[in-house]
Amino acid sequence: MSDISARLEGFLALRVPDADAVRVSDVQTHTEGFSAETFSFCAEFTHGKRVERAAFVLKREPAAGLLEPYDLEPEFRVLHALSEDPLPSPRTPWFEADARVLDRPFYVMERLAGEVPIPVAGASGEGPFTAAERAALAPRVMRALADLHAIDWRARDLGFLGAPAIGVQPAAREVERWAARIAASGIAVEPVLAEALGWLRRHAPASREIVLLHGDYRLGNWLIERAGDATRLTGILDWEMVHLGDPAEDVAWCISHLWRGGTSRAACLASAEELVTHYEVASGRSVDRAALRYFEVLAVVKMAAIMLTGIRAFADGRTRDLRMAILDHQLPFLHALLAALRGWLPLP
Amino acid sequence: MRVTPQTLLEGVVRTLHEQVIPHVESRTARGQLFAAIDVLRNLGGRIEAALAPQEEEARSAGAALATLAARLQDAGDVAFAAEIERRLAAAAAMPVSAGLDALRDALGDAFARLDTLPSERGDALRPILGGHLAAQAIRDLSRLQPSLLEEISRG
Repeated sequence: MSDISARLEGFLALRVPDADAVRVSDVQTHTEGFSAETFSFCAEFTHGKRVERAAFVLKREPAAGLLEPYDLEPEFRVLHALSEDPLPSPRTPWFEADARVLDRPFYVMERLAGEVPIPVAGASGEGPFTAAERAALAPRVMRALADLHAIDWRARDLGFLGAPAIGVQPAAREVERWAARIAASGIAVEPVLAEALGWLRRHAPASREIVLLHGDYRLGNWLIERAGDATRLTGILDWEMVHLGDPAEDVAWCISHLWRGGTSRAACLASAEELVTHYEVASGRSVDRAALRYFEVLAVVKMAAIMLTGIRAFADGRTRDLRMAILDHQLPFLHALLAALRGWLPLP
Repeated sequence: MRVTPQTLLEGVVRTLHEQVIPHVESRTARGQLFAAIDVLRNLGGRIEAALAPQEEEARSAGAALATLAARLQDAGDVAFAAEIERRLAAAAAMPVSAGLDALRDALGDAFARLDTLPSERGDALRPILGGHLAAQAIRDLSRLQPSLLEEISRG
């Protein structure tokens, strides 16, 4: 890590030119995220006799992986635009596209308090939260999602993300985006996935509004500060799939069976219906349940596309990350879930 | 599960060699890791994907497609039924693995063709194939070992 520390010190010295000296310490890699490479580090900026200390997180494009081809710049531009927003997204001051600095493009954001809970049921089957934590968090995370969807993306110049037209285009565009990734993986499409794609193409719901979507709003991307019934969401992470679209898409991803971790609760927090109701109360929107079901199927197809991309990268030897290899035997879970969502198996 | 055991083993060996061993300080542990790599490298040439699960899936897929063909025949959609029968016969003449791939393709194509029928008819016929997909998903899940995802995430 000493090499990275030295290179980061050089980078920060350029970005904070009024500092007399910059010292980077405690550089650590993190394994929670499966996509972009994540490092945390501390930095000291010396200004005369005054020393400022700050903790940062750095996200770097991986050489290959789940969401390739990578481009962290849109994610950075959104986070940067939201840096002063009350939304719990980290302040994100710097992006560096020059690969000479740290081998691949990266951005730096301030480190927020809290921990990313691991969504597994555990021995008790209760999942990562106590009853008090669940009761506190469920409305708060859905309130944060409603706040995110309320952001005026036009006023913040986020139209570069590409706004679909009102109507079926938001859903249809997402289906084709992920179908293209499945095709690009070069891995033969399982019949259950082919059927789901066909169903999605035939049933695209009409969207009435276009909002800023996180695209990966789920338990594994929330920073949580635990404090019993005062437990709160301190950060929303991993904006790699940020785009513009139908708000029901984010809600469906959030409540998907993909993130229940073996518990009976959506996002390990509450029933799906409770979470949707929290969202409806916070946003003032009524979520069309048929559209929600549609986007739940899309969520699983999207996850399959992501996994197939990672499997291809591993099989080609373009990534050394063995976590990509395990995706090959995770696919049957998605196939079972698709069969259930299509009505051929009981839902778990 | 579409990646061959050989490809998976090669990837594991690559990662152990390049990403794990350089970070292992204990000479004993490094020796054990090199031994594990040696084992894995020599295992690749001696294993192949198990045939029994492929045969089981092929039987199930073939039965679902045959049932669909019979229903189509009864309903007078002779061309669609004949196409399925032709694909079934072709798959049956292939080695197990290639035959299964052909049946999976035939299932995907049959779903696409069902999508072109009037929606009520398509909806009535789709569960014939859907039943196979559900059963296959259960069979695949039953072969998996308990996940170490939690340990992988925690590191």
